[in-house]
Amino acid sequence: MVRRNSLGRTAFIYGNYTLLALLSLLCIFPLIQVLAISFSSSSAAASGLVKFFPVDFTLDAYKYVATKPEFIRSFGITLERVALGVTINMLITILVAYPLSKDASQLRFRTAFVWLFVFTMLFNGGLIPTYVVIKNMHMLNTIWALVLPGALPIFNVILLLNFFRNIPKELLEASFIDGASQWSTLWRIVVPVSLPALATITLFATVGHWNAWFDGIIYMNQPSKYPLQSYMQTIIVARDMSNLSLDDIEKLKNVSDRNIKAAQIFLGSLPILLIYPLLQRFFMTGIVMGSVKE
Amino acid sequence: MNKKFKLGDYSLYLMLLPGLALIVIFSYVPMAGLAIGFQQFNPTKGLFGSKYIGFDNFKYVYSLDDTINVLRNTVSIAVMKMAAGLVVPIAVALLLNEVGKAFFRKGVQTLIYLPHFLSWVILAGILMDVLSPSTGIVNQFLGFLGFKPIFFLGTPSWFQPVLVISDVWKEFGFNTIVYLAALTGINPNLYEAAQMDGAGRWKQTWYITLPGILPIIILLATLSLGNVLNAGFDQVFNMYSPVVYSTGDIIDTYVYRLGMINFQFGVATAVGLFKSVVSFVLISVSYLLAYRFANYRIF
Amino acid sequence: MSKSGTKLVLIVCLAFMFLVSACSQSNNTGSSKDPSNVSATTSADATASGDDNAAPDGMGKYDPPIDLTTFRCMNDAETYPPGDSIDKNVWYRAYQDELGINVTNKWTVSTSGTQCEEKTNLSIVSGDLPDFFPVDTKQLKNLVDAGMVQDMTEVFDKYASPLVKEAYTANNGVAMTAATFEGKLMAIPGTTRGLNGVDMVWIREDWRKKLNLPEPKTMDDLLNIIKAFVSQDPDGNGKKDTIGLTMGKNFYDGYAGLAGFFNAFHAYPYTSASTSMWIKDNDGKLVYGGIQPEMKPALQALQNLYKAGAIDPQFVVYDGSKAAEAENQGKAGVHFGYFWNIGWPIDGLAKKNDPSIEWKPYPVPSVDGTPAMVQVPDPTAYWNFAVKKGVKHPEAIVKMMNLFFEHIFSDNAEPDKYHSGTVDGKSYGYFDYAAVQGEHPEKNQIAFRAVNEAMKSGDTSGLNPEQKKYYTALKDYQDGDLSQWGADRTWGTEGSFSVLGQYKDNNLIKVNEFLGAPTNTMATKGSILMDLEAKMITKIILGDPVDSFDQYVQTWKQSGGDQITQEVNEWYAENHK
Repeated sequence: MVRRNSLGRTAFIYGNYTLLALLSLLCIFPLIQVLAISFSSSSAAASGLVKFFPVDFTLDAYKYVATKPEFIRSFGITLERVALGVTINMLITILVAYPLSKDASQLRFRTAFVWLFVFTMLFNGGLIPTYVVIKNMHMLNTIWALVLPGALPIFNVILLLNFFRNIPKELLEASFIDGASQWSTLWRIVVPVSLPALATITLFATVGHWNAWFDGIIYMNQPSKYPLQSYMQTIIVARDMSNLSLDDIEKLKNVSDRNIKAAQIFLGSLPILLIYPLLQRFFMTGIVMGSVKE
Repeated sequence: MNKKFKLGDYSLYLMLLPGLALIVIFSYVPMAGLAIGFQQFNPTKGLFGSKYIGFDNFKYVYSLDDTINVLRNTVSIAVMKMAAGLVVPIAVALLLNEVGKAFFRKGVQTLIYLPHFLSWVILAGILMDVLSPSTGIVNQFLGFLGFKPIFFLGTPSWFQPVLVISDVWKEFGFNTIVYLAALTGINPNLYEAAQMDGAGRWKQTWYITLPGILPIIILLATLSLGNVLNAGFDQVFNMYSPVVYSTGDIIDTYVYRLGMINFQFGVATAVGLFKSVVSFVLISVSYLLAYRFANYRIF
Repeated sequence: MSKSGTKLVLIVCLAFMFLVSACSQSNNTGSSKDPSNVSATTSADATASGDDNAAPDGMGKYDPPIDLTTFRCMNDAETYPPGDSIDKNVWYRAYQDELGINVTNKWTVSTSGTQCEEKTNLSIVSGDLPDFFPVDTKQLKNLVDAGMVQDMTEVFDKYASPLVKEAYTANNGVAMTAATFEGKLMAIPGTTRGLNGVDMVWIREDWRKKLNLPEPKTMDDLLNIIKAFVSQDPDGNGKKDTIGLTMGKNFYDGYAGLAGFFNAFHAYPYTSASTSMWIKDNDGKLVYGGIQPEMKPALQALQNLYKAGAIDPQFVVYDGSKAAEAENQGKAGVHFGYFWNIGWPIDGLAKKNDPSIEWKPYPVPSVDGTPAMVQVPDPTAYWNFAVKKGVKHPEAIVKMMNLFFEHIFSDNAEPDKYHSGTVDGKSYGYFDYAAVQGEHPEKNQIAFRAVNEAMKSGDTSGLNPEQKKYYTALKDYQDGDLSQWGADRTWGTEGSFSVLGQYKDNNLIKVNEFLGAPTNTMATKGSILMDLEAKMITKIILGDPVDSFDQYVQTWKQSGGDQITQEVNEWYAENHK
């Protein structure tokens, strides 16, 4: 369909493009700076000379990181964690969201169940009791301590159950009339039709697992078992400057290089930056979803 | 509704089982630890041997001079963040929706969520550079416009706005994605029908787009209500200083300095419980309001 | 509708109560087991020590070997020779071979940030303790209050080697005081801070000479230098872009802090959540240094500097590394800090990159005729090695300390094997692998004197291997190797240890009179008082009237300060009879 644009509309479109472009620039500024620092010499980086472009361009920081077994190892652990954690997250989220998307006529005590879940979003026993439970389950120092406690993000459940609720009833009824069980309806009809929502939630789950660091430090017993962000936290955070001995100074110099930190920050965020555009493709299928609604 | 006690399809309950097991083990069992909030906690005696002191931990926090101020800061920062965090992503999502060029839309979408992935530790360092009164790019720009440099992070009246703006800047991209996902769910036939009726862009946005994403707006707004006492520990902790305590000190940082540094787990747990109860009440109220007045069930 | 609402709440509550009671039952059985465990081991311990009739042997080997668990907080930059790790290294092998002790690490965590503190607290609070473990004084106090640690008084007395005892009684035994509760030694002190944690003034010597300014003999000299470094363009680029005094927001940090500045005015402030700087007033009572009238002229001087534009207003948000940026860019030339400031943030290689650069440490000058004394608020140990109550062989920890001193500081020491060494061109600090570490608090001072003695005489026979290393570096610098500038500024005659030596020789070190564990009110109100003081100092520097200090003193007293003062004096009376 050809549509003529009014003058106001044209102005709006240009304004809109400009605004959004500026907004995007504003958002990538810090990453550009991190990137610029990572490609700068350590002295330029330490003196805070780097703004948008590398100063004394060098690959030294990346060469150094490439030889660091800690970085590579923790990277691997994070990949494992994301693969396992996101799979479990998605599976359980779907399994919980589907029954809860039903009416009370099909699922008795539905409201009670929902609140039982929502309650956990607001109340928690705190660090120490949770630690004791995980210890008693013998999950300390295993990947399960990173994967299971947070395996059911209630926020995602709520998002998904709302999406499920909006699936046309006719679709489901047709399936039941064909004699399909709840189980097969869920996997054959509901899940395929909810891909956009699932893609969004997968992204949330991935980001959650990728960025989690505190649990790694608390539940893992050796730095060699840390996921990437726990390791990064270790090298990035500021140190207590009152308690240094002569020997500490020697070591401090090795880790305080800003360009090396920057290189690791950048490499650490890279995979997640690459995943998103891939998932974006799925969002487009949401349009298809809209037409199914008819 | 049924006279006979009928569970319906049992497979639905089976599906709930793994999720229920998870929250029982990892959420409800540890909640026994909330009892620490009412105890003079002693690690050797543990949860079941420590002395109960009633509401003394709560009274202690309440008795401190700064508590009211800290509470006020927390609510004001959190509410501003919630409001801005709702409006900005919706606006950007609507603007993005107007963009015809798919590559541009995707590009913007991909870029604006970037800050979300950087931690506050890193961002605080960057913000200090950017907002520096002597060398910061923001103040250089202000100077260009003829303004005097502003010490954003060291001026109490500026500190809260800086917190809110930087938080929105970090997080709006992510929520924009959620709204965009909701926007793609709107039936395009509705727009075609509206065009037939001669409705302009504004009217379409007002009568079709916004109502289309209203459920998700209500949902996110309601869920965010639980954050009224969550002003963002990571962010404030990395950006504040004694000069801005008057406007920047929040419950979490205050309790951190009080409790965590000094081993007062009872006090820390008590404050955590207080926060949970307030959030729970707020969420319950908003749930009921949404149900009663909009006839909309959030969950 | 409201009916269904009530019903819902009821169901949630019921479910909740059921779950809580269910779990409380299961936990109950768990915790009730613990006391019996402890009593069993304690009785076993009693019989074990009862058997021990022979004279105690501080290095005796256990046969059959015993197992001990611990946890470790390690620097992230720690490296290990190929095949080794924190669980398997030269020290852990020595424990096995020489003492018959198999040491296992329950967990290992980085010392950076609060990770170690958090993980340790978690172990303490969840009762998940290994046999022995490093703790700071605050954690030790909580462990002692909770009755979780072993009294080490007798064991230490019986088993500690003469070398260890000598180290711990140095400086009037400050290392032991903070680990001593009601006369009992509740942990083995580790490496002590000693008297090294004091401020000196670091000055860009090349700038000072260029501007023809006199050396900072008095505080007025120093204030003039600071102002001149702002107004007289010391870097000579024609722009007014330099800072006078580099400061950070942590006023008592070992770099860019203010302790030295206050000390110049005979004021001694220092607060932390768990201790403060306590000095004696004319009546012999202990008073808090930070509320004495000497603070006011110092605050006035700081405010004047700020008004003169000599302080970057951003100090209020800067931590040490941020504050250091100006210096590293050659935009600042004066700061107060510890001996290690050469090394970090001043780069020991800076002179190699730019031979015109020169930094020099000076003793803190005085505002009047009385020499300034520098304060040591906390000369106690970084770490104390606590031993879990009921452990069968508490003396094993003392033996491990003996072994550490034997292999590193004794006449039979093998520092190449146990302290540090080089394998395949990479250097490793082996000493850090040891699960129990200590140090003579005067180690560095002794080394400084020995090295300079040797530099004069040319006779290196009296130097131990570590000292020899410093000697070689100094020689290299004299021979023109600018990459050893850092060593010269540390160990040389103008170096930071010479400044520490001057303090020591002239009795200019003021040690905190209160060296006990944190008092009860410190534990509850400490961080509030800390906040109060930080706010007061910051605001006065930024322009609040100096007289608002009086208001602060009143608030300090009312907010628990008076209470703490009383407790501190009670402690003093008890420990100085």
